Amino acid sequence: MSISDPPKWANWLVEKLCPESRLEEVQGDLHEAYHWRASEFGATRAKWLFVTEAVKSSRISSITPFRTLNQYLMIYKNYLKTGWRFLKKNKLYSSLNILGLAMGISFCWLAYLYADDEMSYDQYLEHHEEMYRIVIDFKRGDDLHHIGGSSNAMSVQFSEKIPEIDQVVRIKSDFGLIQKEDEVIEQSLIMTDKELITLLELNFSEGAPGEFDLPNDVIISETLAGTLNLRGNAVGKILSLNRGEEFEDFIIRGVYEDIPENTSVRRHLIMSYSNYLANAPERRLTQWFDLNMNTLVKLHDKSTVASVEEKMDELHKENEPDSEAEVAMKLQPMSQIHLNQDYGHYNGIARGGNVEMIRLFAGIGIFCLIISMINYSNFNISLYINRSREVALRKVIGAEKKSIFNQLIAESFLSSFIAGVLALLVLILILPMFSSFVGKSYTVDFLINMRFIIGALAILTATAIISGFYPALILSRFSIVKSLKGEQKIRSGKWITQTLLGVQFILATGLVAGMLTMRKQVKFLSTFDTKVDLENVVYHDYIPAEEGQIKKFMLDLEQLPEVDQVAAISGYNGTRLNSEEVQFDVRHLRVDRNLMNLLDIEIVSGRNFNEEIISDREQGVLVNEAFVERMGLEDPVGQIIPFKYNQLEHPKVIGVVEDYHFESARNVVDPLVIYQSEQYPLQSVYVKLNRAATFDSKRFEQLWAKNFDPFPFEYSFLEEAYLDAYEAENQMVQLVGIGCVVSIFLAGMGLLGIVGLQLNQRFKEISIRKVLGASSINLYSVFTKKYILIVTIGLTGGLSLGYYLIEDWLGNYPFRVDFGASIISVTVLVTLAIALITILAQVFKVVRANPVKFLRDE
Amino acid sequence: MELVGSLEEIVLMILLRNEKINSVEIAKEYYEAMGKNLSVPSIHVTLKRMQKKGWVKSEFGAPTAERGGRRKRIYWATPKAFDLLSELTKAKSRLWKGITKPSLQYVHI
Repeated sequence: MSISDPPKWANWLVEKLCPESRLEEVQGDLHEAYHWRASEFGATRAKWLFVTEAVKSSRISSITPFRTLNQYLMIYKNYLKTGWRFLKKNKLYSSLNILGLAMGISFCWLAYLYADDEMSYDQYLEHHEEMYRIVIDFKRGDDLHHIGGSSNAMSVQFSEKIPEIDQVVRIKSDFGLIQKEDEVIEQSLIMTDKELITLLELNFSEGAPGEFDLPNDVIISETLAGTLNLRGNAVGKILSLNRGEEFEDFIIRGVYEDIPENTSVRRHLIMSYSNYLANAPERRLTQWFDLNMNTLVKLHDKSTVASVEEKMDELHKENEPDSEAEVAMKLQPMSQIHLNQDYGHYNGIARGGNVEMIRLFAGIGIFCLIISMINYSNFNISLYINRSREVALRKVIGAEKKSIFNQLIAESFLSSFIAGVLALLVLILILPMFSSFVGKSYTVDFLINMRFIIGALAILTATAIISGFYPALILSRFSIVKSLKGEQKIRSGKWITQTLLGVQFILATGLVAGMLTMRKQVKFLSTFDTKVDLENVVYHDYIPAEEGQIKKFMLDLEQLPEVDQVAAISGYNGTRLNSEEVQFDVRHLRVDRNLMNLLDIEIVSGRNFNEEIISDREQGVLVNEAFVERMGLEDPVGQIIPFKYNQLEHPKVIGVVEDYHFESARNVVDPLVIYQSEQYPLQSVYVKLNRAATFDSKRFEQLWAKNFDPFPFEYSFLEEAYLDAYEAENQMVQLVGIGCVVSIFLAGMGLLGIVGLQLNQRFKEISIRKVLGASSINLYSVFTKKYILIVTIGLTGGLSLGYYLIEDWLGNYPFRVDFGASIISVTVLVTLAIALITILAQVFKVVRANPVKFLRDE
Repeated sequence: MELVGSLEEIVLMILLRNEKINSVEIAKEYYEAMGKNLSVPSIHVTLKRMQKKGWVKSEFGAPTAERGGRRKRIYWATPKAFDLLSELTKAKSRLWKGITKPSLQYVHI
């Protein structure tokens, strides 16, 4: 009977698995058994048994000690052991080294965590690729406006007439008051279509939304259910909500698990859209260009975006045939809503992300990591001179360049791993601080997430490879004979070390210069002369009441002894001024009583409003200087201007006010028209307090409660409100400040290590110089000069880098500071001082040492 | 008396019945006696363990074509193993005598 041979691959497996000493016997036996079984049970069975027994032959090896069997494992174990000994031998430098690396890594991890979270918005949704928000590009003259909104009429028509659209979800935001025992909770909410519930993949822990088509259907989040003490028995309960005038009753249909924080549409209270349909005035529902809500659409297929946009434009033209403006209807992908600032974040869309902040974070994280990696490389190159003997000996025994290289890379993995563990501890410690800093709720759980773990490991691995690569390359090339004689010098390493040191200082100086300029700019902005007297002014914003009630409140306030003056305004709105000669956007403001006097705004020419002149109330307006300039008026007072808003047409200018900053000093002052005519409801009340009297908010609160109960009492100081406008800048300054401290610290540490190590190799030289009579000043200058040169080069490079980056940033501000002499000199002073102290401390140690100690051995 | 595992015991018995045999022949005889296949590596492991205990000795035999020209290792049992096993068998048979009385408990119904 002819019998085939056993499978070759299984035979190969035996060779790999079975220890060499037993291979001949085992392999022979398996073959013999194969032939016997093939004749007894058939070839298939024999083959199968051969394969399983080939695998089982590894059992034989388990009898002998494992580590002697795998040479790779053994050698790497040895690498790690020598690496660990090496770290222990140079305790100071290794701990500096690893500490620096840990700082860089943890900063980089934080940046990654933040950036990844910000960029992950809405992307967990199954259909996010087919979901879009309807937005509008609106062009009038030369001004392009991006509008993140749409109207009810649009939503209805799009959903009926565009077949590519699968679902349309309207989102209208609102807020209401919930009475809970003694306190009143202010709760924002959205009114929306039922489809949103499936598109956002809400999970219901209690109840279900059902049809969700009755005006009093609501669903609430678990958090809100907890606040209202309704956990577990919320379904079917009545929720009393006040949205303006009186409390209405709603029925809670279900409780959903909180919507994840990285979702753009996120509210704790969701109401059926039918409520809006039932209550909104006819005009709001039918007028085409009444943009007051957001609409999300889900397409059947994402490739049809262009054709859908085209059809939307056609429908727009049908509905709005005489519009002069160029309008382009667009679809904004769901995943871009969060980070794209152009279309804004309102009407039910959660506050957007700050791309600049992400960039800054990532930039600083990478800067710090680069600096700490350079530290690592530099330390190791300098320390390796001590190890050249070990390397040479390994080579003599038969190690190749490649294996030396591998050894050093393995060591850098060891250091990075230790640094990684430290970095993790640092991260856990600073995470709560960090999350309140960026206004997120990151917890430690946030780190246990596949994306973060993979990203963090990638950063760690890259750090190990990059920081270990260069030292490994240099050391593996050492000549054997020279190293054994102790004559090997790291010539090629020297200039690289110095270049790297220079790069560190460039990065650190760049950050310092940037931070100083940013601080100066923020200080400049917050002390900017807005031409408004902000002192002792209290204001109430967005008062949710009728005009009559507000006026009564103002009269009540005037009775208080501490109140000097009271005025009310509508808020600064915008419209378009169209005349034959000029078209431009203009802001307009309705005032009641004497706001100019209250805020001490100067009237440049003409006069203020006069209570006694009736025509002032209907047709008189004040304009600001920017308006005069934009219109090109020679003698503005007494002129009729082509301004139109609602019923106010062709008003007469009675005076010109100074360009006071009614918003922050971040922008130039827009052209402004101020009128008294009742074209816009009053919204805010300004109160000027008497300097002599003390402010007691209790009395204000009583008056508030008398007029506006149950709305919660709110007030702010105008001075603070102006400063709050620079919140984002302040945050950036803080962030860059931290980055600055860390990077300067790391660069200083690097310098400390390098100077120390290089001087250690020159003890003999210094001793001989001393014996021959060199003065200490002489010695200091000889050994400091070289490093000062590097630091100076770093300073120059860093200042240019800082200048380049910061000019770009300052370009956003029309009112700005300059990157001038004061910033340059402070940066130079700070950096040089730190560098000098570090260098001198090391040189001092060497120069003061007793020369006999180092010369004695010869 | 040293403890002997049940696989060890059977392999030892097979070795004692023969002069000098190799692992595959043990596997064959095991199959004939017990009607079950025993994997060759497990015989190797057992033999190795018994060699350490001094119950088995081995040497290389001549290469054969069946084995692809590889030499075979042949095994035989030592006198120590013979004493151990005979003692064990005696002890076992004494124990078994206590079980010979049929009891209802063990009758298949």
